[in-house]
Amino acid sequence: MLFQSQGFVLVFLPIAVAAYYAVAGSERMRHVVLIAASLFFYGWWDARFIPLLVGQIAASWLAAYAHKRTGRVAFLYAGVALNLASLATFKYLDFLLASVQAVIGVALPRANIILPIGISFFSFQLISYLIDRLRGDAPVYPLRPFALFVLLFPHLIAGPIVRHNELVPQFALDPRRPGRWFRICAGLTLFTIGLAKKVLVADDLATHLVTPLFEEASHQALSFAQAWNATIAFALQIFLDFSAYTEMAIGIALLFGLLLPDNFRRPYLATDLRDFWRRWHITLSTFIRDYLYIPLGGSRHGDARYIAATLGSMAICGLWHGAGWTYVIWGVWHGFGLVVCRFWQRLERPLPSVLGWLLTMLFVLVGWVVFRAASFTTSVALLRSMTGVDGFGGRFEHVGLIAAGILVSVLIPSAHEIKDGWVRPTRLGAIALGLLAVWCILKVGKGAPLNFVYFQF
Amino acid sequence: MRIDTSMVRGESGGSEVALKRTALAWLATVFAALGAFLLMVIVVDPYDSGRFPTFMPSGSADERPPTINVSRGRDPRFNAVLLGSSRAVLADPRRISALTGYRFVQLASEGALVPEQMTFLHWFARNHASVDAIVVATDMIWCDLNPELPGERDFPYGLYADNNFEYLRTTLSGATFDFAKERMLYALGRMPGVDHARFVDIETKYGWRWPDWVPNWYAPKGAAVTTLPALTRFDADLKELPTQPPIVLWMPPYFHDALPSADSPDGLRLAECKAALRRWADARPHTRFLDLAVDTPEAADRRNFLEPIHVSNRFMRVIEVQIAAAVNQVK
Repeated sequence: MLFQSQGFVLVFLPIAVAAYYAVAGSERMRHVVLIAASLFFYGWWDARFIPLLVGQIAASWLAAYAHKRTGRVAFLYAGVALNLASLATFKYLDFLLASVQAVIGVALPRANIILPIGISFFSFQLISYLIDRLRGDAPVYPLRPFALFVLLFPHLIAGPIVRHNELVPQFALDPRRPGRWFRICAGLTLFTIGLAKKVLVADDLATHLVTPLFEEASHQALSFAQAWNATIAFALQIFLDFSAYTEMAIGIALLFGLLLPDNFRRPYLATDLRDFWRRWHITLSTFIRDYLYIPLGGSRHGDARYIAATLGSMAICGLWHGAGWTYVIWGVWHGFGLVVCRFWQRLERPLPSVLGWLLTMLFVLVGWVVFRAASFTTSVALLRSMTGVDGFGGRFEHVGLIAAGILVSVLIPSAHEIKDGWVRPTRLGAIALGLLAVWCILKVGKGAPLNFVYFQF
Repeated sequence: MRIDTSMVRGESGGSEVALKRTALAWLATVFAALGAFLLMVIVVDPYDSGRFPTFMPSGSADERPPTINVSRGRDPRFNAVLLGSSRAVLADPRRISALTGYRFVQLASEGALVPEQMTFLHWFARNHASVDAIVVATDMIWCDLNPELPGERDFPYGLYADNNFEYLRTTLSGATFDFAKERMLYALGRMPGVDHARFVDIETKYGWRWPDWVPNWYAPKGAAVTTLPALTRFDADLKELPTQPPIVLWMPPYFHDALPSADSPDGLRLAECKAALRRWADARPHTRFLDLAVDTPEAADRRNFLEPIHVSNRFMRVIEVQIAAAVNQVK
């Protein structure tokens, strides 16, 4: 069930919210309702993976509980290993087999395992909890709130990645406490904005530009204009799509009286690459910083260690996005950029903001080409077209859509900034937002597509 | 990272009463707008479904493959149906009607797989007292051995559903506005209606080119065809009809080069599929299987084809006579 689907907006969400407030007086029942709703939400995708999800949660909680009872850290290490093993098996096994096969030149069988949706997110959350426990930073929560911390459906599939200490304490709060209507207004506002970004801009960018152009690029060289068209469209699509999801997630959580962390702060306004990563997928970048980069040495053990820690953690960051070498290359590319950025900043010769922004955007765009292209060969061909060495021809299409994407990307602030600055008691604004939501709800309806390209026989 | 917990504790910038009104205004707007939309669907009947009493006249200006049969399939002038995919769309129901005495309507539709074809049959049966004859183009789609018999993911089944709630749910789409606009223009006489007795001429509608590919015969390698899931489904749907009509199954021709040789694996699977269709027809009264997927001089003439698996109007005029003759044999 997608957040923007009619079933979610018109049936699932209203029922879940109504049920939650119907039992708002009982903390236990609130947890039960949210756990049941979350399991239903997850099961809607593929109920076969519910045992995996529940199993990882139960095993991680048992590891923490056993550690509390015995004091033996081996339980925590076992819990981390189990979550990593699950992630490795379900997400990376075929990638590993293909990579080994490429090295040894012998055909290996494939597991062909279906990827359980959201596994990267819930596995990382469980690992972060167990590591915090190892560090002495995490209590053993009762099973119900612990399970809910992972299962909570607004963030279960695609984040934001939430830390236990950010979320579990909120489960004790009555959603009817003062400020309820502010939270509901903020939730509805964020949900509508996210829905509109996703349905009206990001999906159109994907349909009209990204999918056809990248598909064409995997067969033949694109013109100069087409290559830029594809790359800029994808940069906008991935941001608008993902940030829209985050806004909807935060908005939904607010309807339940819960606050999830911010995830994007207008990243395409960044004037250097470190700034970009402070604005882009913030919950992942802070996770990478706290659980990979710093344990690998960070910046306090000399330059060599710093470079290794940065490149290593960014390579894993890339791999987290998908089981493929192009993702690893994308991660290393950003790691390399972060290293260069840091050494340049040490020289204390700051670039003019406009030049810094331009260089950052060019760097990020090159990364997106590698990230999105079907293969490394295709990315090289696309980047070659972008340089203009084969000519400056071609046509830049859907300029209005691109312009809309740019405007939305730079004008709409982060979810928390919207919550804190945009929510006002105005009936006219509510009516406008309500109509915008209806427009989106109707747009996602596929009942009778007007241009039914349906001609395959 | 730590979240701002002050908001969580309930400190807000506006009065709670005013904020409550704002939230309720959002909810009221959404539900009122959706309610108005559904009311429009009921009153204007954008797809000419005839489900609700309305002042709108019957008929539509719609010729889009997934929706055209909503209106066409309930036209009371017809008592017999032509079913199939795009390979059968060019069959002219007026000629077959003239040659057989039935009143055929063309319900074959571009991209229609077996579930969609059965959906059209069910819709026709639901809107008519009886189905007096059925002609089905049993092309390679019918040879599919996948027991799940998947349909087209984006096909709007809800428009043809028995359940009005399912219908209304399906109409909840921006595209419905365009259909509503067309229906209004049609009702006001400012847009010509589509003659349901005709067929959609996809030969002139699309730009055809001769591709360099061979058809997928759908049958998995080595599998023996004992029964076809499509026939099982067809059987089940026929049982719901009040009377059992005469049926002609016809396998459309393929261009010479697209036909697999008889001793190739594909050729063997095609032969097994045809044998299964023939067995089914032989076992049923007033039923015949007409095999036109054979290597004939006509099948080697490129003028008879739009591309290797779609016959042209030129060839279809000949085929219509063969279909009509088969219908006359079984009626």
